[in-house]
Amino acid sequence: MTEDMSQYLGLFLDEASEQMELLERDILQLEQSPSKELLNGIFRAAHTLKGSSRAMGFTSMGELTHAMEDIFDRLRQDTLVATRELIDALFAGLDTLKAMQEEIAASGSSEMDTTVQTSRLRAVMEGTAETSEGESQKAKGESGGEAIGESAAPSPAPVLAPTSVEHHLQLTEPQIMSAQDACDSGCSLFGMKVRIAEDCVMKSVRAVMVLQALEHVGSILTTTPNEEALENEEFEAEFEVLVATKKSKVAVRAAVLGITEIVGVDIFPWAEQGVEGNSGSPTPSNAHHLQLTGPQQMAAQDADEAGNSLFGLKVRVAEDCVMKSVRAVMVLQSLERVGSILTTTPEEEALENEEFETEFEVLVATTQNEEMIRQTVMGITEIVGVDVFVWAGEGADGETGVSGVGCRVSETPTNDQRQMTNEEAAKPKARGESATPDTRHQTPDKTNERVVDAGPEARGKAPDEVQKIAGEKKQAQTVRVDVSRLDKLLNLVGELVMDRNRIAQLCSQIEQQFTASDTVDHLHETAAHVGRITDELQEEIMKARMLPIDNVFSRFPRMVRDLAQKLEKEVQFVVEGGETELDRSVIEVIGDPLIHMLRNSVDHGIELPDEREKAGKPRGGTVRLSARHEENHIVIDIVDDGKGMDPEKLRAHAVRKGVLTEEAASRLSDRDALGLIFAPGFSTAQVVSDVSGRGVGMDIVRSNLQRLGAQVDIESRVGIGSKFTVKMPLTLAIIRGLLINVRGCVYALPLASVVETIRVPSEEVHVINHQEVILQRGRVLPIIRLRQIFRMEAELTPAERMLNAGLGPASDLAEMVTTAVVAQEGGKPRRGEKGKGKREKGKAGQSVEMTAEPQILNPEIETSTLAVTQRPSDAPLYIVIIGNAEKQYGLIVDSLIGEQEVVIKTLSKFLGEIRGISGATILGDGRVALIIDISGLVAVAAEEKGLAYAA
Amino acid sequence: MSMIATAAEVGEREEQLVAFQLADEIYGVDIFHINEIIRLREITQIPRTSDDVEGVINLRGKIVPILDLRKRLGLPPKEHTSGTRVIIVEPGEGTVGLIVDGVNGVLRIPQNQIEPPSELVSSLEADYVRGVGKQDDMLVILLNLPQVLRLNEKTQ
Repeated sequence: MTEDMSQYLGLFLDEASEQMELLERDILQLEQSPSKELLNGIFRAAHTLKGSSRAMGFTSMGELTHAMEDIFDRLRQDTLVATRELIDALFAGLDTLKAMQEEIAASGSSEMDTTVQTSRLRAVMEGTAETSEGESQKAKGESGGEAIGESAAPSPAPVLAPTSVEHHLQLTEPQIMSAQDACDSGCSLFGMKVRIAEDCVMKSVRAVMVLQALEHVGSILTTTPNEEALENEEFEAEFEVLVATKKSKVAVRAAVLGITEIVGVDIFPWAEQGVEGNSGSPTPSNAHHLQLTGPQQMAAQDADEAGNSLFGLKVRVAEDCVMKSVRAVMVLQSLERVGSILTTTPEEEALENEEFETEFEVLVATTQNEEMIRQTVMGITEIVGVDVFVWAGEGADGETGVSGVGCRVSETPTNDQRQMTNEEAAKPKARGESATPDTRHQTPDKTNERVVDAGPEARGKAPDEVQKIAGEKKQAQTVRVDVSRLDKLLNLVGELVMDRNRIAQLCSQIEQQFTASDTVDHLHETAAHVGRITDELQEEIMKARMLPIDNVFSRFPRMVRDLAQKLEKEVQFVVEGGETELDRSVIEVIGDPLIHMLRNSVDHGIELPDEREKAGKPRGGTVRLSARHEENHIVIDIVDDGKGMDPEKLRAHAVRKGVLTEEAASRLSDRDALGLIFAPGFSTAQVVSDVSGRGVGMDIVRSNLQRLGAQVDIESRVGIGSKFTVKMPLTLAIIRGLLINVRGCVYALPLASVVETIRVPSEEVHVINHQEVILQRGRVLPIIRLRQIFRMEAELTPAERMLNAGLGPASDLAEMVTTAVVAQEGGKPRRGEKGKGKREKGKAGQSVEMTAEPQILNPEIETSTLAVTQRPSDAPLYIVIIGNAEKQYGLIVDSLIGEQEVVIKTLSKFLGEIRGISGATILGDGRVALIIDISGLVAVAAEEKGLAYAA
Repeated sequence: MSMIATAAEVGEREEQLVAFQLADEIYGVDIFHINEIIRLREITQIPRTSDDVEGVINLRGKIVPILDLRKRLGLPPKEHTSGTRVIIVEPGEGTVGLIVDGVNGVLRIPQNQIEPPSELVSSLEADYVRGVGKQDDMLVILLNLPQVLRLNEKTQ
């Protein structure tokens, strides 16, 4: 691949995966509830994919998509029925496409052989197609031809008269249709002769690039030689292209000339008489001036069949509008978004060239209602009025289905319509007035009066303007931003958050130094403001990084379907809350655990249909996946109505598997017993399938989820079903942490894992089975002493070490330690209390002694193995209870500091993986705090202290 | 940084080194591996890491791991003094700080004054040393920095 092409590769891959996702979703829906509209969407996606893959030179990909496209085409013409076999073949084809896309993403090319899939698709198509052939021959002739028109080789067909430049472009019958369609949808047709530099070494590449560039500005109707020949370089220095585009000639020229080694291009407007000729150009013979040509009537009929309504629109542009053509094009564009434009008066080209006064008319086919259409148009600036009327088929012959539409919807003829018809009749026709100003427009009052339903009564009024501007904004709602840029932004905001914390801290220090000063007050105000802005900025950037969880969920329906089929189960898969948004960092990692849990539900949860029937349940089981926001978390439920889990059986199984002793198992509460499925080496599947039940699944799922700061809960009732609940933070970049102090070192505990903090007298710690525990509300909580786990009993902390070494500015150090070891009273973190009465400059040691726990620095105590117990006996212990509803532990810490947002930074690879620590963050005072990885910590504790892990 | 600037004019066939003191020896590290030299500052200790890992520091918003080079090289530990410095190096991927007894400055040693590692430096593992440079009467042990740090990754 050349460099020039590779710059499009990323774009192509993005687009391809989008289209594939679309295809997968829609094919799945096709299986359940086929509809014309759906099929049209699928066809378009396949068509786009085919086009882009060919343009990029991935021919086999193009071939395969082409085969799929043909099937969709026949499906939408009802000459093919979507059988299970067909859907399977389509999915298989789609899988191959995905694999190819991945291969291309990885290596830049794909060697995959698609002939098997392609011929399978063709076979399925031919095999089932004949039965219903001929039912709708006519329809096939119309749109089927159009579908393949683009790729068909030029054949001896009616030649359209060229205008000026001599060329060899010929259109086949279907291409003429496409050309006509294109004209109808507001495109201009341009023929062009493209010349490539003679010394160009890769002409085919340039040619493909030209075609690609043109595809961006419009659609290619035909080329001479044909596209294949161009790709194979079967041409000299020149080739010709016919494009339909909404862009101007200049834009088209620029697009082509922008490509390296293209030395020239002649662009000539394509004579339209050939295209228009068979139907005659629209003439203003009735009140609306809108007339349908033959093909347009077809299109109208199609639209009708697809459940669309036809609306005629009279759009009025403000008289003083300086760029009427722009407004007109905007109107057309926004209408295209809500439906499809069948015709306009004057023609679109004339609209673009501003060959109209202040009014023009449009006929749209749409699924939207009248009001929606009206709002769409009125949302555009300088549009002062629009009359929307139900198209009743005027101008269209009775033989088409269009009149049917008219009959059906014209039961509610609007006042607009009648009023307008009368007025229109009295008026000179809109066309042909271009040169002279119309007297009508010099009486704006009258114009405005007529705009009854349209809303704005007089243009120029402020509220209207606002409304219009808002409408205009809608047109450019989204911008594609490189992910790395968002990451960068988040990093910067992270820095800002840290600085904000720092500033806040400095402020309170300064406040203490200079109490009664205006400057300090102002500083405080400003700092507070900066803080607020930073918060907002952070929130906004976090929002910008949010993606709907559908990005992950959309993969699942297909997976569940395949799985259910394989297991011969009937499963209805329901997805809810797909629009719930969360940070993309989470999106990236949450997929795999969810896949595993869903598989588990389908595999182990849902029973076989016969079994279900016996149990008096419907044969088909339901698996429900839902997502929702809860405070700063996203909560994902996976609910099945399967057989549920029996705690008794789980206990027995765990004993059999050697996960637990019988005695330990019998002590487990039912709830804890359910948690056993997360224990390593535990699998209840009777038959180990290749689906799940490898026995490593759920424990890995949970530990992976916990690493992300997620909690997993299970509820289950035998015979009724099970429910897995995953609760996790919305982002992995910034979390709320509980800062704690252990021997002068600050650690952050992810707040999501913190259940509560308590203070208990040290004598309440009991030892059961060599395990320290406390009793808390009747429950036994195993205790983990952070000092022990982090081996901080016998060593000096860095702060202490530095004190001993006599390094660093003493006062800073004192400050540092003072803020680090904040005395807490009543077990509640209290901020801002730190400096009170403790500011004593001078020797560091002195200052340190002012902190609540001077014994930390007393070297005599450090010989003890349990330093904490050496405190005065009445000194209570600070315990942070971590874990979830299923399993909780108490962490003994020296003191609590407070709650803070912490920006997660990874630790250097030079340190390797440190068990129990997931990262680090920078505190407000510039120091580094380590972030504790709860699951890692518990695992370490279990290993070292024989902590009863599962019991 | 200023040291790099003063040594900007790269002489032909010369190696530019930052020389530092460890125990009784002078060591040299390629100047292009060195980002900056800082004073010892507060280090956040990381539990459950190997002995030579001192912890991490906050270097202008970046979290940089700090290794004690004495321990890393198997030399006897020594209390930090006011001369103790941290050399921030970037030997390829990632940044890491090395605690040394003191920094002597920038040296230029002609390449013909550099000999391959020999028994002269038997106290160090051969992998760590890429040569010995001579300047006047002084011997400078040239550290193979990537190797010194790679081994650290492995031990974890």
